[in-house]
Amino acid sequence: MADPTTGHDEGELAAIARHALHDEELVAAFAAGDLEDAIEQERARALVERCATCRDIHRDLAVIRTAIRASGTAAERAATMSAPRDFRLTADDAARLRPGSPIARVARRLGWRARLDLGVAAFGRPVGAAMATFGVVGLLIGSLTLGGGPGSLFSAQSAAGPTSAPGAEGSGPATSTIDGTNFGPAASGQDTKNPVPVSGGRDTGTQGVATVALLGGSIAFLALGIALFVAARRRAATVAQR
Amino acid sequence: MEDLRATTVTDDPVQRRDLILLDRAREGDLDAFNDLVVVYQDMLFALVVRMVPDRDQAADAVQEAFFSAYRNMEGFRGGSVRSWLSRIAINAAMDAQRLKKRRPADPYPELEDDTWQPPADASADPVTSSLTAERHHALNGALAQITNDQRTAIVLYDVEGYDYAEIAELTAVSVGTVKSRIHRGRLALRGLLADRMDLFRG
Repeated sequence: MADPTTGHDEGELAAIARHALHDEELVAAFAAGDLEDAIEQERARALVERCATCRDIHRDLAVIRTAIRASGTAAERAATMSAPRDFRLTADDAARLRPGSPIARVARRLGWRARLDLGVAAFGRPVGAAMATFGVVGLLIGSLTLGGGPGSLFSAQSAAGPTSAPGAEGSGPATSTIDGTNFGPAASGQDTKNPVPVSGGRDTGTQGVATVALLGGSIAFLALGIALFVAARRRAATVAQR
Repeated sequence: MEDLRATTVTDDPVQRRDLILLDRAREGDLDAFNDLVVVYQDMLFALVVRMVPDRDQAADAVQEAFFSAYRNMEGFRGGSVRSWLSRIAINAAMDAQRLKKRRPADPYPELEDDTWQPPADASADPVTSSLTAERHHALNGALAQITNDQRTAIVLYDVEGYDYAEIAELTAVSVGTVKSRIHRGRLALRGLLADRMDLFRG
């Protein structure tokens, strides 16, 4: 007896209900010949043989595949259809797309002067900043060495011997420092105007020379770094204006 | 720079011509590159418009593909220039699909591809030709409605003849996923063409 709402008879309704439990993708894979597992192949074959809907799917998918394949490859279609526009590249496109870094590409467009400016702009700022930082650090270390910190010249001086108090000339052993060289107390009977370096004074003197060199180098680094940084900023502004 | 003609020995005059053009393009000859564009632009558009069924978007994707090819000429390592360009175009088409996915407001129109009809048999009668055209139209309409992934896999496999492994590599998914997309896509097409299956059953 036919169902009044769907028009299907009881047998058809039962078949539809049964098919609802069937794996259509398995049937699709079977239709495509993609099932490698023997058990799955057997399951799919059983569905196609026993279920009318699965059988229809199997047949329809083969038909659809054939129709798609007949629709022509791109090469076949290109023989009779044209692209809607011309895709050739212009000289501007080529210049924009040419391989290389963005900086190199801009430089190529602007010429050798711009390359120099871009080079300075690109590398001058970080290098300048690094040099200035080294300079500041060097100055700090130099100052500490000259100042009162441990290992400074003054503490080295203290370690060399007791220092005479101002105005206590001749009252005891005295040291003086000239150009970083530590001079000990004059030997008995020696002229205090011609002091003799004491033992250990050579080390202190070397340290003093190194400190002065460090300070000089640091100042040079700082100045060069700042100059490079400023120049780089100016070049970058010039390039941006172009 | 690597001389492509030296590294890729081929007797195929088309491939040889392509390699010479690409070699010259790599040396800075824009005209040589544009000769390649002229040779392949119709073919690449025909390929991409199946994957991106909107002619304007497909054209944009093809343009992007040629830009990308020009940018990456140095990366070409021999073989078929046509295959190399096709792969770039397929990637550009997938990028276009992703862009469309992010802006899904406008669904694809029914594939605007009636400018081309499958070649009819010379001896075919008018009824057969008409039937072929109608099938083509119905199929394109259904293809435009399935998912991008399914359409891409079906076009590459059924139409262009790539194998599963190649499609998996191109689309960066597993072979199993490619198969599944093709099977589900065909099932979806069957559902969309349910009322018109008689056209195909012939």
